[in-house]
Amino acid sequence: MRILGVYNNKGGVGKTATAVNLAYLAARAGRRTLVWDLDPQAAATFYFRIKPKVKGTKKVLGGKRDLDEAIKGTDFDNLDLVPADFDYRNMDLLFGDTKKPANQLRKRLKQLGDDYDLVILDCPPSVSVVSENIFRAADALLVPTIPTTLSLRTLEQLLDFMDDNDIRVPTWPFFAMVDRRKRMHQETMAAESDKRVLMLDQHIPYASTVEKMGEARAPLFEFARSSTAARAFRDLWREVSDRLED
Amino acid sequence: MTRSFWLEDVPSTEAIGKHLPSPFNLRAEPVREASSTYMDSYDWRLTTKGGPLRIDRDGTELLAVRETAGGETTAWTPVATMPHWPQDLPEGPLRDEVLKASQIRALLPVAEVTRTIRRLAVLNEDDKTVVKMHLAEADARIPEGTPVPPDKGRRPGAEHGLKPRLTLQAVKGYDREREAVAGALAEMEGVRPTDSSLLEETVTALGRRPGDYSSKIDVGLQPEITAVEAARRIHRHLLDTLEANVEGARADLDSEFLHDLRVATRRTRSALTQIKGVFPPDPLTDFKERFRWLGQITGPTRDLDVFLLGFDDYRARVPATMQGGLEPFRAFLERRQREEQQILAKRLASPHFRKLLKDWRAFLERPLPTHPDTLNARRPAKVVADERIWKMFRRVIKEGRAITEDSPHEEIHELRKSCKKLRYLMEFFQDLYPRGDMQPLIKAIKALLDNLGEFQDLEVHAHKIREDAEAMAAEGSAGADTLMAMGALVDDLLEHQARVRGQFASRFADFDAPANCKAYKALFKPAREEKRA
Repeated sequence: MRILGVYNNKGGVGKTATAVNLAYLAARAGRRTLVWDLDPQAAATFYFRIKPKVKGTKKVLGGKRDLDEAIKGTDFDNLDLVPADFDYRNMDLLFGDTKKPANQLRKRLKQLGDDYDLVILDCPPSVSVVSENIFRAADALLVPTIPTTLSLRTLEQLLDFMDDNDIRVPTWPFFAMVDRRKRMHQETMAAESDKRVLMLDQHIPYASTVEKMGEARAPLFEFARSSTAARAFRDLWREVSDRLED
Repeated sequence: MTRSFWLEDVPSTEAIGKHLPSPFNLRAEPVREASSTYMDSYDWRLTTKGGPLRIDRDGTELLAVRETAGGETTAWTPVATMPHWPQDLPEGPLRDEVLKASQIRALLPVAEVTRTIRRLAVLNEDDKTVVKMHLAEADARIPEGTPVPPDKGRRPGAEHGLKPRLTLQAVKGYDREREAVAGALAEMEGVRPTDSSLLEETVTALGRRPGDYSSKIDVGLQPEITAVEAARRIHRHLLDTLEANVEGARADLDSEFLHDLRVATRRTRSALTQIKGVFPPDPLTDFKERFRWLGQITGPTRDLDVFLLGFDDYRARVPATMQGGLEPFRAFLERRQREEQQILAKRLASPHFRKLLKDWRAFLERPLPTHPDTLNARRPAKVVADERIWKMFRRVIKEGRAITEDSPHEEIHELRKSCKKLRYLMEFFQDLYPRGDMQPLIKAIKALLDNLGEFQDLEVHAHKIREDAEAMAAEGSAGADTLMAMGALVDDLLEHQARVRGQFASRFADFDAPANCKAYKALFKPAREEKRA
């Protein structure tokens, strides 16, 4: 079982779209895939037409059977979801109560055993015990990043935080919501490609079709499979799945 | 978890929709054609140990799936071609499972099912799929070329329609919704819940039953029958087993067909001599001779099969530096096996062989004469069985006790023959005795036979390797390193044989233990008054 976190400290960077669309592609490729919607805003849950839980986090964090019981099948083969829970707002408190708060999430996921090949965590935008849990649970962290100076600063801060806290999860940032018409986006991406090899090769363009996921309540491929954005997610998945296999 | 229903008629989507409780709606999805092949070994090793292998064909893609009898998937993997052996599957958990169950047996296509599946999604108020509904109309057939035991199963190639079936597939986490839908459907006319899986239904429709072929002896004798009737039933059972293996042995689908055919032959010969005084001597002598011929013509191929099956173990017996030298020997054996197999296939297709089976069947099925003139024919089977088993047991004990460390090999071989006779007799007549008493006795004689069998096999193989080395040297197919490796193997086998010989005394002592002897006495020793004058 590989665990992939999708995280950014900032909101509105295409994080949930990334989690949902990559999960869809992974499932289509035959991997038994689970999305865990850890964001109380419940966007991933909404895209899959599943109802968020009003309470029950305490139960989920109690043991494997409870986590397994919380899982809901989506409309797609090989693809399941742990719905968001409004109580995630209190998750910091919950994890804070336990002995090793930073390893709780990993422990729960390990208990699922061989049920899934890939788990994608859709993470809330914050730096907290929850995010630290995610960093420690994940085998890799995808960080969608808008190509602006400010976003790159946020990315630097994230990397520093990890260094300071001795978190060694492979971190794979990639450019998201790229608008080729904006000079700043172009310049930032050009400068970045000279400077570092940190960013993934693929990026996701800004596209209104991605925003339509909320209207269609479905992954992009279900209603706009040949769009530019769909193609970009396919390329991104190829790069990510290659890296996951290494 | 799934729920299944049998349908009298295939209802329209609207008719089903009308029966669904609020707030559910139906959405029709594209109709799918699916074809699946259930695979198993001839003796159902997969099905009886967890579940068969299913190969699903979707366009040009093949998916190998292991499922339980109840239809739950345990492992799956895409495959490039139809597998014939467990080893043809890609490495992984599925292959490990299948190999563990099927071992040396080939995978045969037991049944093929083609289905037209109308798929309906049951949606909730969010238009989320909560239950998946499949309406399937299916045809099943036994693929042509699949060997089927005589009188078991329909003609290969012929199509058999299955009852239309409606399946509700749970979407994980929506059990409540599935139960609500299942409840509503059960109210519909012509809809009947069923627990039988598609596999069970398919196999039944094709006239087969998992386990309908087994090499084990299971005659089903009743205590009150006469000895001649018991003998006829035992022989018919053995003939069924023999016939069930002819096709597979001819085609060499795997080595077990010939093995089972030979075992049935050997048992038949043993029964012919050991169940004495039930058949008139005239045809008996003739059949004994003809079955001896069958044992003879099947021997060479079987010997080579055994060699090849154990070749890797043999390879491991010589020093690592010499192992490569054995490969020309393997090639030699493989070539010889192909040659002998061809000869065997011809003989198994010959009128001579066909006539033997036909004549034997006719003899076993002809009406019994009202006054059989043989000694034992009309006596109760149990009395005759008691006498024969008790006599053979005493012979085994006598021969075994006479063997010392210096006894010639022939005495061991003779003891082995007597042990085999004893084992077969007990297996033939086991239904006449309490199962709990019989099983430990059969187990004990088998343990002794393992030792004796290994002793003999090692000697025969060492001898054969020497012969083969000469033959290979003569035809120029073995270089010095091959001949040396074969020599080293012979040495190792003979050394091993000496160790096995050393274990004999304690193995025989186990068999000759007071408890075992007492059990034989209690179970088989005929009471005096029942003894013949």
